[in-house]
Amino acid sequence: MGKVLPQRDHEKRGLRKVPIRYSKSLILLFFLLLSATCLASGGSLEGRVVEHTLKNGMHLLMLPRTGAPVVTLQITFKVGSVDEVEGKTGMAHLFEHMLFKGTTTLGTSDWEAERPIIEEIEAVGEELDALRAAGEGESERSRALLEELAKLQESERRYIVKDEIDAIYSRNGGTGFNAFTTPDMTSYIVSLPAGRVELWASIESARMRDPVLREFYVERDVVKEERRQRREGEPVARMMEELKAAAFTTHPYRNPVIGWPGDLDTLSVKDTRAFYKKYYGPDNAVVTAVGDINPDDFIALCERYFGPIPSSGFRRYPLPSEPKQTEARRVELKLDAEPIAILAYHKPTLPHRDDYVLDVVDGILSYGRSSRLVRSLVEEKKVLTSVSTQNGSPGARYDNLFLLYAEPAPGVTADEALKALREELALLAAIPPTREELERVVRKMEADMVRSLLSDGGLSRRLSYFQTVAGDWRYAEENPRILKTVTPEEVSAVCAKYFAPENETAVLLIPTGGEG
Amino acid sequence: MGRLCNVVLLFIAGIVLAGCAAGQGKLNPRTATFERENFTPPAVAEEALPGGVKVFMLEDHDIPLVRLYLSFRGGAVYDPPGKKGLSDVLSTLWRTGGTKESDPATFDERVDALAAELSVGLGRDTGFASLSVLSEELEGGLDLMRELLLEPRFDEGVFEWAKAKERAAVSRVKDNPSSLAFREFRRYLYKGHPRGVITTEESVANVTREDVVNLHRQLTTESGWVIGAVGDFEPAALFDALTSHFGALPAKGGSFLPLDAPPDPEPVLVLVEKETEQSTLLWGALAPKVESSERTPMEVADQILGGSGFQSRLMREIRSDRGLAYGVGSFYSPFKEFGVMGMSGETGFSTTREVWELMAEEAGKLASFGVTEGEVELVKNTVANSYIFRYRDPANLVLERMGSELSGLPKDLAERFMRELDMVTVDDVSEAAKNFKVGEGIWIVVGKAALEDEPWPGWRVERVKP
Repeated sequence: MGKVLPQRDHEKRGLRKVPIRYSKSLILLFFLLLSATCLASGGSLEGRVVEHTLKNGMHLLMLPRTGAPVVTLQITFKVGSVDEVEGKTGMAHLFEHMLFKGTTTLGTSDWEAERPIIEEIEAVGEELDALRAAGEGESERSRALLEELAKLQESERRYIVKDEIDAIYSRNGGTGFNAFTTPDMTSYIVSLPAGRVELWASIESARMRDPVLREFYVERDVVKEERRQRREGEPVARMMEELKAAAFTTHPYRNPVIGWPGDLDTLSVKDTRAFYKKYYGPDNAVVTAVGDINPDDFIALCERYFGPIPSSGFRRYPLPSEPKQTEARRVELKLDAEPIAILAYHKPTLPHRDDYVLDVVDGILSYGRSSRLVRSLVEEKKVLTSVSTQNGSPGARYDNLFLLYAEPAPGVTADEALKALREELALLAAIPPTREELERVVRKMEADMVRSLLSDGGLSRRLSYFQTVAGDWRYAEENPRILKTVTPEEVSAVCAKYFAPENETAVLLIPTGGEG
Repeated sequence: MGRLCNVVLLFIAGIVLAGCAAGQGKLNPRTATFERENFTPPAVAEEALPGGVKVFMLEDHDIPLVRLYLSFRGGAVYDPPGKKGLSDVLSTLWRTGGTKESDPATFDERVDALAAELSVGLGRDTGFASLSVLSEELEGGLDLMRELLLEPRFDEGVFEWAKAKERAAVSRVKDNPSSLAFREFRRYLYKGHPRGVITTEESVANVTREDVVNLHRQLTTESGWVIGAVGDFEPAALFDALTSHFGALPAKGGSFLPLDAPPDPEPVLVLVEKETEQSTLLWGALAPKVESSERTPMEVADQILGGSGFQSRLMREIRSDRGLAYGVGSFYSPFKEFGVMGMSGETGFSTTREVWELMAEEAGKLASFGVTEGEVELVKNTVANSYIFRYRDPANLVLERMGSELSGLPKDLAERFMRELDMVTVDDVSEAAKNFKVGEGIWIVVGKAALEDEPWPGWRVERVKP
């Protein structure tokens, strides 16, 4: 389902990219099936995941597995771009980058000597940003400050131990050391040989307790490079940015995770520090450990390293809802590229009943070669070369979107592709699917759940995801029961309710020089 | 006596307390040392079907799933001149065209009814088919795989659709700067060799249904095949089933033999004109092949230059210190007949020249001044300590064996590499690093920067409009 929709998470590392995407429906079904599978093989998921909460509120989920002596470890904070305030978009992602820069004990050869230089860099950088914001970026004072900043950065470099955390993990056999930020959450991952878990506890507790915002302005430039690379690398990245900004008028799901360019230019050290203090307490964190671990030992280890970190006491306040959409929206993007069409419809998030029904709709439309859109539009009518759908974009903590993505066949315009998609949606709204169609979708989802067991990393991400988004990883265990109650008539009714013209946002890539 | 007892007791208590203190102490990540993990990997069973096709099997009953792989020689490098894209058209048509028994829709419904995943396709040198199926559905899954591989239906209508789809894929390459850069890289690096022939909309248009039918026949009767299976099965029963389903496949059919190594290319800087603010920079050259004595030290040199993420020189100089790029790095890919090495990076329009110069400078320093003891030690520890992850998914062991068998490489290639890595010295790596002669390779520059008229000092320039 939604297999190719380019909803990108923003990762720290440019070279070892791990495409991580949360298709909520797939994840839910995964857990459903995982449960069934484990029962079939002699144990339920409930009995296999060990759970523990430290006194400071940090939540641990442990899933011991047999096989090679390795373990995948993940810390997830319930903070993403949706938590950012207007004018400071990109903060969650920038701070994710900064956490790789080290602590008061890692990444520096002499913290006491380095600290005053960092403070000076902050003062110079803030004045420079203020001048730029006032349109005086080319003034004499700005140029002088730039020179001063360069000198300070040079003198700080004497004390910096470059990428030391990465080096320690690397020489100890760590793999997949990475992080990602989504609208809903920020997560830090590494896999280690099982005997080195204490190394993780030591490093990660230091990162949670004493991060240092060193090389802040250089890293802010790296993020700007990342933004350009993602936008220019694939036209669809730009389309998704336009889509969210058009579909959401007030809700922060409208903002790109990587931030708006104007905001990135002015994110300050002070803002970043305040963001960290607000959101990076242990009471806002979920830890998962999947692999060759002993839960009792792991709990003791976490108590020892993370236990002394005080709770932040942070309380979350509800965000205002997105106003109901009342008329169709359309954005055209003219680029030197082949046409693409994307459709989006507002819908409620979990645990609303309609969200479950739309998981089934997602499967009927694009899951597998015998799904409706693939069969009808790609293979029979031949109007598309590629199609996919996704229930639940860009996040799932708040009401979200159902997406349809289509690449038209040669000679077919983006508008014709949209028309074909709408016709299929109208057909599903008018005529309920057969029972067999529903069963085939669920059966296929079930088998994929079993396949997902092959990956420790996948299990870890999914446990983290539901604990963070739904507040309890067990949420997924309820899913099979509910999905099996979805009726064909309900599918049609939900399609009619949400796939309405006044609830639609369309983004079209129109080739320059062509009619698209 | 009593006093002695007290002393002894105090001494013992001291040891115990000291032990507790040590247990409660916190580890210093900088200095901590650990024993390397000991793990005996499961053994891969090797058999041969009566016709000679090798079968590699690994039982794993942890998850009720069976994964079956079939790999064979053949691929895009063997496409006839003027019909480049033939193997891609076959790839699309093979899986989507149905079988003699079932039309495309019926066949897909049969696959989905078993909740199986079934794929087949051709790459550059080899083809690959895979089946993933719940173990309770293995028999039905094997039947589907046999039908698909040996009795496909290549109807004219679906054939035309597959061609149209492939033409669309060719035209979409220009939308992705990275894909575009690598396409041009292959064209210039392998100039005058079948590997350098690029698929165009015209070459796809030249492909006929008869070409596809012939290629399929050749692949299934004259190629070389190898099979692998991992998962929840009973080996003897699976072997029997494989014999009855795939026993007719050739082990070494005589066609699609390995090509000679490509000739050294003429150095050139290729400007690929594309109106984008982002510049994609790519450099590369031919490199030592997999069985070369330089292979292992080259792997280490590549890790040091740009293959190891943040610990590499390119990343440090260009991203960490200067903030000029998000992604920059190097690669080294050794094959049976030849190898390829290179560097790639993306940056903004205004910093293109600076990053281009920095990349060349870092490669130049590596080639001229070699590497340090610390750099080599880091790579050795990184690779040796993470080696255990190779065993996390047992399918890796089966796929490695299949790859070696099909390429005619030693079956203990991975173990051999680890032994050589352990022995490799700073001098070995510094010597191998001399291969990174930037002036003798191919540069590709994609983006608005390629539209400018300014010279690129020291380089013969060619311009390409995608």
